[in-house]
Amino acid sequence: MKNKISFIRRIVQIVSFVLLIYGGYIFKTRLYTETGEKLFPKLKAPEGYISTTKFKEGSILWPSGTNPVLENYPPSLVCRFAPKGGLFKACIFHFISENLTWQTHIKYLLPHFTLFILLCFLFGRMWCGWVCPIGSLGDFITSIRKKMNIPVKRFPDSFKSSLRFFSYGIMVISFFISILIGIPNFKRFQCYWFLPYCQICPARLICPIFGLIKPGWKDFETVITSMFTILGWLVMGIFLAAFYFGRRIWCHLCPVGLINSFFNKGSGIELKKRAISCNKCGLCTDACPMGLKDMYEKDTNGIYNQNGCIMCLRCVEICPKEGCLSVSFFGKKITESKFR
Amino acid sequence: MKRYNTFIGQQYLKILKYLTDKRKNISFDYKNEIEKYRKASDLKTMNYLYEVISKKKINIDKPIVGYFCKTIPEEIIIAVGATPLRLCNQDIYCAEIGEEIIPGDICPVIKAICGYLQNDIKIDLLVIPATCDGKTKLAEILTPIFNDRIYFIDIPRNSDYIENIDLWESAYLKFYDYLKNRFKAKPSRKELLSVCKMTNKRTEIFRKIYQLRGEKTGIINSFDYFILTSASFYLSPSDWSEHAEILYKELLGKVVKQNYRKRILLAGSPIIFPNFKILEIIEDSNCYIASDILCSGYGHLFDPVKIDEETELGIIRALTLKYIAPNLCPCFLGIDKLLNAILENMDKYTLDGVVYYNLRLCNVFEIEIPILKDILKNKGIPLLVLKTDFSREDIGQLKTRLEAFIEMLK
Amino acid sequence: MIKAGIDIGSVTTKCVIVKDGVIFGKAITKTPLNIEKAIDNVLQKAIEEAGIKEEEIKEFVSTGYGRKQCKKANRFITEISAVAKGGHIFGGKKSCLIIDVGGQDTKVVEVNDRGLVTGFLMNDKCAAGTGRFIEIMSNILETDINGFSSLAMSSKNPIKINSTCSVFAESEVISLITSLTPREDIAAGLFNSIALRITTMVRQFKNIDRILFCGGGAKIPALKYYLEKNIEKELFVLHEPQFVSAYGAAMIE
Repeated sequence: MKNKISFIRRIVQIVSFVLLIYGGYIFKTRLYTETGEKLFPKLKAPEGYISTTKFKEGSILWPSGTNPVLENYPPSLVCRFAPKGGLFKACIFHFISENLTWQTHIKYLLPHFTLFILLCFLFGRMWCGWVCPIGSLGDFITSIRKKMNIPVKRFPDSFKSSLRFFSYGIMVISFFISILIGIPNFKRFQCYWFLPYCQICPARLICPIFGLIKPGWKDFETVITSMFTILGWLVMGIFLAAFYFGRRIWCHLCPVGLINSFFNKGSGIELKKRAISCNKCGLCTDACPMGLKDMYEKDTNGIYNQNGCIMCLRCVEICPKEGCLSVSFFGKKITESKFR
Repeated sequence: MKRYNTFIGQQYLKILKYLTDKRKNISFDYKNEIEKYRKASDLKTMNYLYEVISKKKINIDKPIVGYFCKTIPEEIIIAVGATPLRLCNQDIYCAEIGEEIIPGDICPVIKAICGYLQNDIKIDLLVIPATCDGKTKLAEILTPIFNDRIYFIDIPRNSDYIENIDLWESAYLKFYDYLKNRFKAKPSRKELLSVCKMTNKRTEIFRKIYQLRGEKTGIINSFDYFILTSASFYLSPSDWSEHAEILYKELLGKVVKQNYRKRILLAGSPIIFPNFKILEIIEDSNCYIASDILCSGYGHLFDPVKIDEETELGIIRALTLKYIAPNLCPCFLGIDKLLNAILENMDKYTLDGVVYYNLRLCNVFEIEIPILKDILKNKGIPLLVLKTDFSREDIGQLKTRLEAFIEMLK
Repeated sequence: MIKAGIDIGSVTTKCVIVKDGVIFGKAITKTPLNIEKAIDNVLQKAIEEAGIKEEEIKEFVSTGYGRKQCKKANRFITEISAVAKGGHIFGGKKSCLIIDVGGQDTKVVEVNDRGLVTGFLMNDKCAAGTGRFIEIMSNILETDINGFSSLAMSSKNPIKINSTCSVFAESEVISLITSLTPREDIAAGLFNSIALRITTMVRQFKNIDRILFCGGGAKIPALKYYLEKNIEKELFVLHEPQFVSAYGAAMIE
């Protein structure tokens, strides 16, 4: 098979897309047992604090189900707004913002964090490239562009690094707002500013749409909700355009991906380069959906888990020199580049 | 296409008339040489390839697009329905004729090309890349013969992907558009892809032979190997891979008898039939060329087209990444690739040393020798530079050098 | 064990007979067109000097550009390995650089402390910088090589000669003679130009602490003088410089 890695990745993406979006439909009963509850305590809003369950149908933060199949927070964009509560509770960004507002005690958070860090430690940002449902949707949009014979738009490095900077900005601002509205004096802003990033995240619209449920897409009750609604549309438009023209350029902006990327260096999955086999053809960079250049530019043997790398392994697949690039999992080689 | 110069043309046509009379007395077929190399060969399937070389078999049903250098994308020439023919030439007699057209201290390959193009092969379009200085000027020199049948591709000389990929892409696109107009063809994406598949097939079988040659000492002698690679200039990719496949099967079943003294890597200037002088010297000294990185064989056949996005532009882009970016030619900036290639081959096939063939007056090769010498010395890899031209008078001296090098390796 | 080494150079053929590392007999003759005759001739002379019989010679090694023509030899080695071996033994078994100026070619060989060649350079196919060049130039100045050398040594004001090509140097020298330049200065200029050419070869090696000088050229004091001046290092002229490669051939294991 020519594109073996891409093929496997496609299958994994489809399976995880189905599980994450339709998980609420597939699993009729909750798989969340008592021991599970002890291990991963259910996080609840304290008295007088707002939570997503309190939003009514049609408003921006309305979840279609309250009980997810598993009460966990894996590192990919697993959305709170997936139909019927979804397979998992929510994504890590939701988790952090929510609990910053609620001021949950650290001992309840620790088990969830530990699981998250463990998963990130095992696979790094592979969650972005292989599991994230909106990333998979984006790849599908990209493949439509390819069929239409439209060349990809490539962005300069400076633009990508400014996106990353912007992503940091989004993260810091939304966490700051989350902390702020947790303070008793600002409690009255809670219903408008709760989960600020989630309100504009494209997944909030995409997950319900694909889950055949009406999302809260036209909430014009107050000035602030209308602002968030319009901002949400805008971000959605940017999201679609970004995936249509620029492959994974969106993923430079995604703050969830940003959190995952902190674990990329030192994760179990390792991208390695054998420098003397390199013929400097540039295919690895050319094919990289994130447009990363280290793999091409650097001339030393070693591990090339860059921050932006989503571990799609396209570079390993396309490299024409035998044994130049390889992937290993905790030092054990899984596959390496070959011609054919 | 504009005519580069018409004034020189008048002078040139006069010489040409004189030369066409002269050429009748010279034989171009190299019967003796071919017989000599064929005798040294112990492979049955090579016979066909020797025939191809001696008769210069070309498919003349389709328009012929002649080109030089490994930087011209064959795939798009085939896709528009023409036959690509690589005209790089090291014919000694042709070089003598070329001497009369462009006398002076000029690369003998350029002279040979000039002489060769007096031949009766009907070439519909001549594609000239601006790689080295000689090739750049060829466009002007050959204008009297080819008039508007010359296409000149300007290729930036920095082979760094990030710096120049857009320039290569636009150069190739322009060439592709020109070909489409000229041959009134509109190849679809599927056709382009199938051509790429064909050349990839050729690369695959070439890599197999290349690897087998490196792993088993004496499996194929250097004459056979270079005849095989030279034949790829004349044969279409599918024909070539068909015959190479047969050859590969014979090689697999072959019992190796010969005892070679040393296994070496050959680098440097291209070796094209009939200029096998260096090969004769190496074979005479009982050295086995286990690996080579010359642009006539390795450079022409080793790199595949790997297409990331199957859009038209994506395919063109993939072609530039096959032809230009990994190019080891010293015309381009980037000696690191050459070093990588040498070190990888030394490591992969456990070779004893590097022989660097420097064709005299091919300045780009000579200019990188001091750097190469220094780096390889630090890495502990022995290097021998053999500097020579087409003439045969210095064979004795070169042999002494090579033998001293082998004695040094012990 | 008695061994014979024979060095068939372009100008002279040398033979050395060695018994346990010591030279017993040696002979030298001009290389005529008939190489085999020269070999027989020089071998007979060497055997006479050594006072042994031909059958006693256990190993017969030939070197030099005519080495393949020597039918008696049971081994052939290149002059580079031979000169490295000989120079290494004569020069006290240390790592060194050996300059060998012969009739047809000039070699610079780098040898490590175990006597192995680690790098070498030979001049290009033209005669520049070789013994032949010196011979031709001495003919033009109407002296023999010794006279040419002493002429050069007596010069106080060497002129600069640009050409090292024997053909072009000749015309340059003639034009200098007609412009009444002193012969001493011309001779010195010629030696300087040869020395410069050899120096560029030497400069390509890193380790030039210890330089040995052998071959026919080492017998010319002017060449040594100008080489030392250009390289800025002292050269050690080996004992019997012409026989170094023949001796090295005989000593090869």
